[in-house]
Amino acid sequence: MDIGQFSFLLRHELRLVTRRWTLRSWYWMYLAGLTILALVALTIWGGTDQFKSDYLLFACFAFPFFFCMIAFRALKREWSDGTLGWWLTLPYSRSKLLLAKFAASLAQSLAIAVLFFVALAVFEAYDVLLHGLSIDLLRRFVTQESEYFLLLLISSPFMLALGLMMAAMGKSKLKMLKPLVWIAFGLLGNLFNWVNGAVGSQTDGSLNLFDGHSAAWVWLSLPVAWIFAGLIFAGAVGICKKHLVL
Amino acid sequence: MNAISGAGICKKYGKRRALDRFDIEVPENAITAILGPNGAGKSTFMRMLTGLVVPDEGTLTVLGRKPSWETNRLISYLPDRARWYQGHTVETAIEWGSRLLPSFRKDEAREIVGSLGLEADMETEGMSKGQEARLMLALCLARDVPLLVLDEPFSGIDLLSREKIVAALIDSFSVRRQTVLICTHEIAETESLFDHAVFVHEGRVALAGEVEELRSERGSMQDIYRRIYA
Amino acid sequence: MNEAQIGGMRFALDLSQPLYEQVLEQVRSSIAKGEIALGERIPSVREMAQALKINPNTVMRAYQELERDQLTETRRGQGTFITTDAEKVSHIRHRLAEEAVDEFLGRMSSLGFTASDIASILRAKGGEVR
Repeated sequence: MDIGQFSFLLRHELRLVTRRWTLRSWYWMYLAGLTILALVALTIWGGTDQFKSDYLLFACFAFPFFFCMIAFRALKREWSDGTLGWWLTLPYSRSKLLLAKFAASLAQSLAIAVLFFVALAVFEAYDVLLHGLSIDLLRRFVTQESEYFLLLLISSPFMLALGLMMAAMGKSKLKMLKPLVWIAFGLLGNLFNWVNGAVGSQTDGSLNLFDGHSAAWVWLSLPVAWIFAGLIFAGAVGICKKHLVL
Repeated sequence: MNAISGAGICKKYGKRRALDRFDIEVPENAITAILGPNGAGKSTFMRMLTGLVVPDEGTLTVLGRKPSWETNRLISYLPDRARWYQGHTVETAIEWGSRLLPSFRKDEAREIVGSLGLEADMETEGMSKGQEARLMLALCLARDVPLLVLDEPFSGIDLLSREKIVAALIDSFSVRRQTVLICTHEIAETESLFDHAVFVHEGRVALAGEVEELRSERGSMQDIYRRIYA
Repeated sequence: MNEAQIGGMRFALDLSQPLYEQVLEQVRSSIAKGEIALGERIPSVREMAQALKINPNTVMRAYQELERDQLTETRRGQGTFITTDAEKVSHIRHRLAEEAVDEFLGRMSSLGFTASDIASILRAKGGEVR
């Protein structure tokens, strides 16, 4: 498989994962509604402790779970849409076929995360400007966002690989291993809560990942998490190679 | 020369034996039909050719090799009960084929979809089952590969689509003389196409041979089918 | 029974008999009957297969047999043509006539008629023989 074929396959996968966003206009209606609500809330209650952009930031605690489902759907779709016979008989190795799904899901996941963080940074900037708060608040907010983004970078490859594995297992002889995957899903998807608990909530909400020494292990966990993600991915490939029941 | 040969192939799903000591030889450059009712094990065998299903026992060689994703570059395969990707048009489906399937001839694909009564800008979403089946067959026929494997290309589609597919197959075979393997339980319109026939019954080969010889010895494929499965 | 017409030739194929022989016989009799003229181009393998909805290999086998009998000749790049040799065609006509008579005689003898019975029936039928 050459680069051109892989990039075409990647674009093909991307088009399929993003299709539901373009297809369902009500997704965008909800998003627009939520944006307006947030802006209204910031206009009325912003500048005090009654409403802060930080509250919205907690929504990203659900992202690891969400990313897992993105990858899960990217694979599950092949059999639920009846296209498995085309996909799995392409003359490319199972690892490349799955890698394209993984990369497309990762791109979509990170794009969602970036959009989310940028939107919240804009909200915060709006809040700061409207209510004449210190610009330092904005700086701190963006720092906190970067920390959360880092956590997502650590966890998302793992969650995506787990999603692929779950989908592959559902179509395989290894169904009995599914509860283990669900446990991993529950434990690791909840990463933000674990990290928050471990680092201890600072008064400013920061995890001190960038300046404090207390959280050096978070940085160390990045390669470890990615290695685990690679193992899970290899497991998903293995299931697709040998254990699918078709 | 045989394009495909299999000996003693067994495949179990739980307790059900899909294939039970299945022996088969498929000659090169001829059209071979795998015939039998639903559940006889035809599709299981067809999936084995592309490496989707691995035999529990026995040996199978396709174009001289064990089936795997590598051999799939030489096989044009129409999956059983397949659908095409949503959100495509005829043209983007052809693009998909030309970018991902080896030996895909884009201009031929355009010609074939035209002869099958499809237009470039038709969307898969609005297609009837027959139209979608024609599109998928066109993608298979547009590949210049030594082996064409069609799993139930006629099932559940309208008469006119079936006739068009038969015509496209005849055209394609006139030009390429690929080895063609068709699995079907609808014999009436198609039996005149076959060089060889393999009747599959409960996971085993009940009868196999050259169709012209079978005709002179036992009558039409439809008659034989009735006698075997009645 | 699958029926088809291509050019001047008419075909009726019975799927319970070998198709190759039927195609061969029916092309021969088309030539004998003059449905297709001397020197005329016959349909290509593909056209014939398409018209009859049969396997191109079957058509090709029949065409090869015609060529062996020198009833047709292939001109490179132009296609296959019926022979221009009237001799060969009359030879075929004669052979088909003999076959028809043999078949007729066979049936009559299976019904228990002797040669002289048959001759007298034929005489009695007189001008009705087509």
